[in-house]
Amino acid sequence: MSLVAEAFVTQIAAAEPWPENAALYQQLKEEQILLSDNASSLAVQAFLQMCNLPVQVVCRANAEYMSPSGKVPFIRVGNQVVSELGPIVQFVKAKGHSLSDGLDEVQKAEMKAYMELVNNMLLTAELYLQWCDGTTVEEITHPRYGSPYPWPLNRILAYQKQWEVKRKMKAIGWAGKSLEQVLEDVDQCCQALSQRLGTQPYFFNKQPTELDALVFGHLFTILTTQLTSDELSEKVKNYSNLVAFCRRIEQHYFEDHDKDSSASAASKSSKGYLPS
Amino acid sequence: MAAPMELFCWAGGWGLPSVDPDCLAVLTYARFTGAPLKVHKVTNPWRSPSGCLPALKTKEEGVLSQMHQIITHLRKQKYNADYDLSARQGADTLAFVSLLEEKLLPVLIHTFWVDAKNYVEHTRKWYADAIPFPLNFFLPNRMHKQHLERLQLIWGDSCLEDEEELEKEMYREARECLTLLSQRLGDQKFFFGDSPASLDAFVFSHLAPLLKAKLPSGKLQQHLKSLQNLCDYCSSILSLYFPWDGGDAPSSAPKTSASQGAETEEEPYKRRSQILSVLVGLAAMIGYAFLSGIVSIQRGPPGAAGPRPIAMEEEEEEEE
Repeated sequence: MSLVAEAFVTQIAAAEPWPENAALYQQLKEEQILLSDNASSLAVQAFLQMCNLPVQVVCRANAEYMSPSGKVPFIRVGNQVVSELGPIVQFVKAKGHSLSDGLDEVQKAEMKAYMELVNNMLLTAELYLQWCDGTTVEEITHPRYGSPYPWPLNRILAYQKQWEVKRKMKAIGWAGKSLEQVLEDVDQCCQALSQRLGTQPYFFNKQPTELDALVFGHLFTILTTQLTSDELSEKVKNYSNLVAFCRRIEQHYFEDHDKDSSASAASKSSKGYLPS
Repeated sequence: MAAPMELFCWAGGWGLPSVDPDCLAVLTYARFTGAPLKVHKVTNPWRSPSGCLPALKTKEEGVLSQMHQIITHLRKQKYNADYDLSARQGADTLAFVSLLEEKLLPVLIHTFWVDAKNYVEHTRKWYADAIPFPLNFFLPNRMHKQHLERLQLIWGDSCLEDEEELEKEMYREARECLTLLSQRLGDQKFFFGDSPASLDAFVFSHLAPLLKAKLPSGKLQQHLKSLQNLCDYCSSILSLYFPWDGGDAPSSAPKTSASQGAETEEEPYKRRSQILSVLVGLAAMIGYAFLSGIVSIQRGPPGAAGPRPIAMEEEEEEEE
């Protein structure tokens, strides 16, 4: 889109208020969605909750293909479709809702940097674990990923996606890493987040921002998802302030929905609540 | 640490000790911490022990090839630039490094290697001049393809096809990243006070090539130049830590002892290829001369062999 067209669209976006029927699309919760996609989806849901914008979660088997950028989740607001947390934050800002307006420039820089830290380390580690670790791939990922489709399509799609993710890992230099090194990286990332959070309720003191939503999405999903081994969630549990942080956000923003809450819904036989 | 570790890295150019951001980061970190490294500046990646640059040859762990691994190894050897940092500053380091790698590095790769004008007129030219024959015919192109593939995987295939969209989105985010770095640095000398840390090495290695290279089409470069504190920051690190090997092109003589080893290593190659080409030329001429009969060797008694054929030829000529 040219600059003029985008300005035009932003104007339209700003002009319309947030509709009641905004929808967030992700893959099927019970059988299909994987750890990394669930984390991203939860982050967006948390963000919209924090902005007090109602959104309905719709599960579709082909959500990945419907998305304009190929990544889930994406939201449909009116007749516009936006995917991924970054663009969604900007879209919501154009509509006049923002969580990070109260931050000064240095804090905004830090917020962006920490969001990239989560994307760079946590998300990549999740992808590595899902697609490059033999046992997880066989027992969890392959059966789940293609489950809505008949044989042989389910196998083909799973292998295709795996090949794509492995190429990306090679390009960014993660292909040579062993599982221990990846878990070590997760530990470093959690340590950094824990130190930045300290004893504050949210990362930028009193008010949650998109960084809080993103961290919550990833950490909560890691803590409540059952994988072949508990090593990943153990790494996060080592930092008690992060666990308390997740519980705080869950109680504050997701306690209204009880049974069909997206935060506590089962995903890979998740425990549904934070372990104490 | 009995024997110093050996580091193989790309040679210098454009006023920098090394043209590659990864190599530059390792060099800068080593300078900051005073790590004793024997530096081999090469222009041929096949000469490095692992086949790619940068590469650190250590006694304990063999050859390490990725920038992060090398810096971690140096840290383990007690050359730690982050020793004085608080826990919070250490966390900030990780975060800003991730920001650089996600937002700025892909756009840097695009600017140097994928953007058509820059690649053809600047990057490829430098590498083709620097890399020895015959690798300079295909290595730059191969590196170009590798970088292009890497960008396609990171950004998604559709993004690269639509140049305008790409330029708008990615370059905007890169400019924002530069502005954020500038705001974080503020008036300070280094990111965490008065002594340099690993974050400074990373930031410097990414910004310095962008600042110093003479790119024909440099939108990002112009934005960087408008951020005065970042420009001053790069120049001060260059003048403080790399005062004398502000890299000349590898063909002219660098002045540091560190790269003298590299210089003498390159000299025999140059000399060798010169001698080789002269010999090949001579052999071609002599071979042609023999084959077409201009010169011939006749086996006969020494001394008499020479004059007689000529005398006979003269007689023949006289007869005619």
